Amino acid sequence: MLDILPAEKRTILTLGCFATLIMSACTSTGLVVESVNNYSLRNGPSLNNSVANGDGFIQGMTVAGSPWHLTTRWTDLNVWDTDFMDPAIDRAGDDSHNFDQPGTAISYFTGHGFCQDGCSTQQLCSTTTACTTPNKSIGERNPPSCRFSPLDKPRCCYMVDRAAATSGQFDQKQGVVNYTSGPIRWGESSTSGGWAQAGSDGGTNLVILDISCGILPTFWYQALNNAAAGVHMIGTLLIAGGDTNNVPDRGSTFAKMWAANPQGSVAQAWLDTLSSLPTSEGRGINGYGCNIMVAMDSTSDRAGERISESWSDLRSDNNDAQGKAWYSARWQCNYALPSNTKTAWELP
Amino acid sequence: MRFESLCLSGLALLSSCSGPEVKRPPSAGVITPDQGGAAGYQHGIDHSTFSVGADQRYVNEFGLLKVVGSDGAFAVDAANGLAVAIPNAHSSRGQQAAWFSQSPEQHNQLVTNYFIGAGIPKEQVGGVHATTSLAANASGEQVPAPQPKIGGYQSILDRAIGEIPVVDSVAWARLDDRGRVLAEWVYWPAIPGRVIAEASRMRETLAKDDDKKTFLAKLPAGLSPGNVVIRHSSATSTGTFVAMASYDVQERRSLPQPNAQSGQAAGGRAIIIIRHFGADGKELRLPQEQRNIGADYPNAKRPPPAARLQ
Repeated sequence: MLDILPAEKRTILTLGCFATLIMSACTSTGLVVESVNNYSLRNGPSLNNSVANGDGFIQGMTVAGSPWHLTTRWTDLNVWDTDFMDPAIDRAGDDSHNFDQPGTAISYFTGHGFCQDGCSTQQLCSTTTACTTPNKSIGERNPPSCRFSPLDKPRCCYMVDRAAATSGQFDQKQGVVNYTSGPIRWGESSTSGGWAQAGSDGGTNLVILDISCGILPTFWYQALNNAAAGVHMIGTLLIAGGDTNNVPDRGSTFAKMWAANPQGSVAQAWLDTLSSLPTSEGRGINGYGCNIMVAMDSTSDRAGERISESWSDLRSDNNDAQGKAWYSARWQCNYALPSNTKTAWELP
Repeated sequence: MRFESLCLSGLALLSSCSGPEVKRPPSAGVITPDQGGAAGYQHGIDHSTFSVGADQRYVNEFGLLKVVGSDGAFAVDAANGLAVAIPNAHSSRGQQAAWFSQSPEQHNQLVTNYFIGAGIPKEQVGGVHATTSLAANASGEQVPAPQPKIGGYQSILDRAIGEIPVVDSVAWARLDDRGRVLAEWVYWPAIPGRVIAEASRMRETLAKDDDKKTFLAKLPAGLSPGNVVIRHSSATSTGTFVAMASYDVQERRSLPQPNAQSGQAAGGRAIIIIRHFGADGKELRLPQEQRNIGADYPNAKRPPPAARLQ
């Protein structure tokens, strides 16, 4: 049929086709969901609602006509810590076939997280500058934070690693997915570049860690920057006081936000999910905390673009992060802070 | 055939293929209950102050009936009536860093007035709570981290029938300083009369010490005290609507214990799981808690790592 067109039109059409092919090759639509109820091998107790939660996300995102598709669903003992680890950093890692596969748009983990809070010294404080004695023997280190919450008086807390927990049949790291300083790199791809020194065999654009104590204040950047290797955003729960509720609906509610408006903001969808969960379940948090989304990139403007992405933007690998020097973060917290609040969790 | 003609022919072909009729989302109004039941409220764009912007059109997709415009979408779940309004990420309202400068109590009042004015039965509003929106942008090297700034609030109405909370009914809205809705979520189904009667009977039973002891003896040991509530299918549940009276109990499960090798510790916290019990003491599960699509997406038996590497 091309023969019937004038030469210049043929050229335009051909270029258009190539452009379309290139653009589609740079689009990720896969979903990876790993959910753990069964913690019988390690890191228990077992949970009730993780599989329902992860499956609700899958069901909500793969309704008829959806642009998303399920790539991988692992549950319970089939979720291994190596699924999250990068083979370029640790040879035991296999994230490029699991949590961080090329072509993945969203990777969702629901299960336990560890909750070491870095506040072991129990030193009361009125300013962060007074906090100078981390208990290094249990992994506490600087920076410090004079942290408070509605449940806790201001006390010195220090940076500690954050980690998700698995109970896999073939775990290699005791089921500890240490994303703060472990062999975790997410989102590295040919479009992000290899700046994270983890190759280009990843590709997820959004990671959701639906776990206990995903981040503790005020270390959102320190907790996540190790794992950022091209991923557009990482969403999780920041616990101010208390802990996460293991609810069955966080995933499906997040998915419903997409279905309601695919041109809506991905970050705002994660935040709105908090307000949409039942009151008696603490909006998904037992105590005080927030849904948080963090975007990291090479410049302030680029980090701002990532946090503002729509669901359509999220699919484009052309939006992969080019670095992690800057961050943009958004929170929705399950309690009211006065509008003149200068500091939500820290006495600086 | 000229190129332009080819395009025009294609467009004509597309336009001649008339698809199924596009349905409009329902109007706002009362959802009539059965005898002895409690009325629900169907939210609609006609009672909403959310603006979808210019170029409005009706769209049916992903199980939702929508009004879509240049600034956002108002969508109603065709299966259960959940109404959701969300601005576009790149609209002016979607890009605002701060949108409400008054107190959370003022936001609560504005949202309560808005929803009662829209049609939520006033006597069913059991409380209102604000959640807080914050934002921060900084260099990762900046220590200490900059303090996040408050952008605004979302106020959430809780539902109660008499003194019995209806846990899974939720209505929230995010308003700006001019009182305009920036986003909202409303799921307020009618509650059957038999469920209300059952919950009332459970409350009466638990008010008597002897009966309460008899009831609690039927439950698993070690649970903390609970409350009589009405539970129902969540806004994202699929399938038949289920409502039930329940004695809801929070079960605390301690987090993973200290692990010498990993250096990780529980930190003295516990994860919470809500469990539900009927009047006979039998444990109940909500539809949303029973999701398991394993049959549709069976896990292949994963090969061990060594085999995978060969």
